[in-house]
Amino acid sequence: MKLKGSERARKNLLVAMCFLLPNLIGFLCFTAGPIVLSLFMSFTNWSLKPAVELEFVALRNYADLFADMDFWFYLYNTFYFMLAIPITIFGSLVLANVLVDDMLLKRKALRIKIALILAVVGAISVIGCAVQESGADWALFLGIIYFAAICGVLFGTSTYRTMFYIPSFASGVATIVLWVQIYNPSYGLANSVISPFFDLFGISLEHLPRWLTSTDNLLGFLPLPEHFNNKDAFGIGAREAIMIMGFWAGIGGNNMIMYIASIANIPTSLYEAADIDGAGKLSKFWNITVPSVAPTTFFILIMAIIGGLQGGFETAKIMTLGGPAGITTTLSYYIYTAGFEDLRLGYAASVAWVLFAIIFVLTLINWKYGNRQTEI
Amino acid sequence: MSPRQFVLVVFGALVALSVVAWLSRSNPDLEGRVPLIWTTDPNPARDLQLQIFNEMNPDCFVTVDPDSGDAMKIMVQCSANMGPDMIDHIYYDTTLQTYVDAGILLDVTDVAEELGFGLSTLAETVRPLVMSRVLTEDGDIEWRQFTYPANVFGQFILYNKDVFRAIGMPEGPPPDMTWEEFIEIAQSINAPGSSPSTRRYGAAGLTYEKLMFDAGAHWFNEWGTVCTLDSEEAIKAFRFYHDLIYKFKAEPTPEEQKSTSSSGGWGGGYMTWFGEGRLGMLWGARWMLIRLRQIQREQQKAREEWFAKNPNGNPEDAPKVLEIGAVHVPRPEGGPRYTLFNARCTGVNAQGKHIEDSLKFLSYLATREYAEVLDIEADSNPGNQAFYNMDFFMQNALPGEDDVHRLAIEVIPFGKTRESSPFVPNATVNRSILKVTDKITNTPNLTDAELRNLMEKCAYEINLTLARNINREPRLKRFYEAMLKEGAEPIKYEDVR
Repeated sequence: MKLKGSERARKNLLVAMCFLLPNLIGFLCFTAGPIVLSLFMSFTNWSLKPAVELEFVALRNYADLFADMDFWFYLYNTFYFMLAIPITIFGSLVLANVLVDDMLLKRKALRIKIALILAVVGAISVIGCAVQESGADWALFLGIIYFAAICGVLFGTSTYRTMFYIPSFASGVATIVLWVQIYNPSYGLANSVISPFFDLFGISLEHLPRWLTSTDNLLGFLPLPEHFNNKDAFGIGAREAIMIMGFWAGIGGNNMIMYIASIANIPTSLYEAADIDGAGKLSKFWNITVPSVAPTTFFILIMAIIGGLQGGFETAKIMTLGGPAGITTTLSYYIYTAGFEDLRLGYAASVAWVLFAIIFVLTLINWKYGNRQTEI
Repeated sequence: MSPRQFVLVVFGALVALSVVAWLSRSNPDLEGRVPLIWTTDPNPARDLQLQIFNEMNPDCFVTVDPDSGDAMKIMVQCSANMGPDMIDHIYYDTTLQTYVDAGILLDVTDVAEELGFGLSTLAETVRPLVMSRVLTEDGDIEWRQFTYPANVFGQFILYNKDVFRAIGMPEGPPPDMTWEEFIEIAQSINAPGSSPSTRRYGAAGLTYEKLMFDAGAHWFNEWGTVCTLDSEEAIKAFRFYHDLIYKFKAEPTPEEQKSTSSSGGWGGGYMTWFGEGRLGMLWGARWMLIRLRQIQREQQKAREEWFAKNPNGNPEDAPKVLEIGAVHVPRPEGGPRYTLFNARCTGVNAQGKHIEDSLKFLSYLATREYAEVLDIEADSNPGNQAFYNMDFFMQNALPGEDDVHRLAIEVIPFGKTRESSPFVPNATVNRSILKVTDKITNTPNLTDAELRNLMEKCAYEINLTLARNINREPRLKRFYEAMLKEGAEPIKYEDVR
C-alpha cells in the first residue's frame, strides 16, 4: 500500500513521538517540573517540617540572602576555588600538546631494551628508598614513576593519555577518600614527599602544611570581613588542598581529550611554514597552537566556570564537612545544608536561583566578550 | 539482525531481567504478621535484638532499615508519609528537638507508664534524654516523653594498666581525680615519637561539652530563648579546651587526631592506640569493650604464637595483652563531677501505619530480655534502671573488666546533656559551634580576645536565627509568647524579622 506524503509525514511524526515521549515525560517530570517548582518555592517559607504552614513570602528569602553573611562567605569560597580553572585549562592544553603525537619508538627490540634498563634502575632505586628509614612513601612514589615510564616506552603515548584520563572515570567518592589519606598531616603521602625538602632548606617540620585541618590560604593577606575567617591566614590549607586535587582530576580529563582532538585538526602546513621561518617549539605553541584551539578553549572555559560555580559539594560533604571554620563550604553545599539540615527549602531554593543568575550572567559576559577572541 | 529485531531482543532481555529481580527479591513470609521498620545503625547485635522481639511478639515482624538513619532522610521520608515505624535519634546530635518540632515523633507520655517504658523506669539524669518541651493545645508548656533509650552511656576514663606501670603508677589514676591531677598524669605519660602516629599520648577522646558542664556554662538559657555561648563561663570552658590541647598537651591536636582516622573512624582510632599502649587514658564508656575485647583476643593470640615459637623465651619479651582499668572523669578542684551523657533513643513515627505495634517495641526496650542482649555484647547501659546493678552487669563480664562495669553504673547520677532551643534547629546550632571549635582547635596561638570574639559571633548568629524564626513562624511565636507568660527571658533581637 502506498502512503500519501502527508499521511507518511504524520506516521513518521507519530513514530518519532513514540520514541521521544519517554524521554520527554522524564524531562518534564524530573527536570522542568522541579525547576519551575523550585522557583515557586523560593517565594515561600517552604519547610521540611510538616508542622510549618506554607506561606507566600514574596522576596523575603532573597532579601535575607543578601543580608546573610554566610551567603557572601560561601560565594567567596566558591570563587576562590575557581581560581584553579585557568591553571587547569592551561595544564590540559600543555598536556594535550605533549600527548597529541604518538611517540612510540619504531623498533620493538629497542623498546624492550629501554624498558628493561628502566626496570632494573627502577627496582634498585625503589629498593634503595624502601630500606631507608621513612622511605616507604618515596619508594612508592618512585615505583609509580618508573612503572609509568616503562609502560610509556612499551606502549607509547596512549599509555599516558589513559593514565591521565583515569581520574575522570574513577569514582569521585573513592578518589576523594584517597586524597583525604594523602593529605593526612602525620602520615599522608603529601607531607612525606615534601618533608625532605623542608629538611634540605632547614625549615622546621612544624611548618609542614596541615592541609585539610588548616584555614590558611594563599589570599590570607586580604583584609576581608571578619566573617570570612581570613585574618592572619596566609599559607596553604584546606582550600589549596582541594584545588590541587581538582587540578589532578581536571588536567587530564575531558579537557585534554578535546584539546587533543582540536590540536590534531590544526593544518600541518601552519607548522611547516613556521619551521621554514625558523620558529622554535615554544613560538609555534604560542603563535599557532594556542590561537588555533581558541574556540575549544572558549567552550572549555564556559563549561569550567559553570562547573566551578556548581561545584564543591562532593568535597565538602565527604572531605571536610565544609570546614575547617566554613572555608570549604561552597554555594552548592550551602544549598544542601540550608534545605536539608536547617529544613528551609524555600530559602535553599532562593540560593539556588541566585546561583543560577550568577552562572547565567557570567556565561553571557563570556559569550559576548570571550567569543570575539575566538573568531580568527 | 535488523534494528527492529535488535530493539525487540533488548526489550525481551530487560523484561526477563525484571522478572528475575522480582522473583529473587527479599520478601520474608510474614504470615499475617504486622511488618515494622526500625531505622537504626547496622550494628550486628541488631539481629539478636530483633530475633528476640519477633519471638516475644508473634503478631509483629521488625526489620531494620540501616540506610535511612540520617535525620534529613527521615524528614524527607516522613514528609512524604513514607517514614519508618520506629525512628532512632542519637542524643549527641540532639535531633530529638528537630523531630518533635517537625511533628514526626509520637508523644508517648500518656501510654508509656502503662506499657512499661515510662519515666519511672529511667534514672533521673536519663529522663531529659527522652523528653522535649512542647506547647499543648491548651497553651501550656509541658515537658513530654517522646522516646525510650535503646542504650545510654555516660563517659568515664579507661586507662591502660601497662602504661601506668611504665610510668611508675601501678595503682592507676586516683579514683576521684581533679583536672590538675589529670593534666599532670597525662603529661607524664606523653612520650615523643618520630611522628604523631608513633608517639605515646596521655589522654584522648575529650569533647568540649564536658568542659562546659564543669565551667557551669550553658548553650541556652533554661527556656531556650537566648543562646548563652558568649557567657564568661562558656568562654572559660573553650579557653580550657584550647589549653588542654596546646598548653597542657592533654589532648591530641587536630593533626594528631587525624593520624587515627585510618584506624576505624570515630573512637576506633583511639581504641587502637589504647590497645597498642600508645594512649594512657581514653575518654570512654562500656560499649568500647566491644572493640577492646577484639583487641585483647588478637593480642592473646599473638602472645600464644610467640610462646609457641619461643618456648624458653622471657615472658617479659612476649607481646602484651591489654589490661583495662577505669576511673571517673576529672572534676574541678572542690567542684561537682559531671560527665557527658549520650544515648540512642527510639521513638514512634506519629504518622506511622502501625502505631500500637510500634509501641510494643518501645516496651520491649525496657524489658530484661533486651537488657540481657546489651549485656552479652558489653554494649552501653539499657535504659531501664532496674538492671543497673553489678550482678546483672557482671553476668557476661570477662576477667579484669570489673572496673568498667562498675563505672558504667556509677556515672549515671553525674550524667548531663547539652540543652537545645525549641526555636532553632540543632543542625544550625551545631554548624555555628563547629566553626568555633574548628578555629579553636586549629589555632595554636589563639588569644583571649580572639576567642571572646569567636564566641560572641557564634552566639550572635544563633540568637539572630532564633529571633527570626520566632518572628516568622506563627507556631513558634505562640510558643514563645506562652513562655513569656511563664516568666521566660525575652529573646535578644526582638525587632529582627
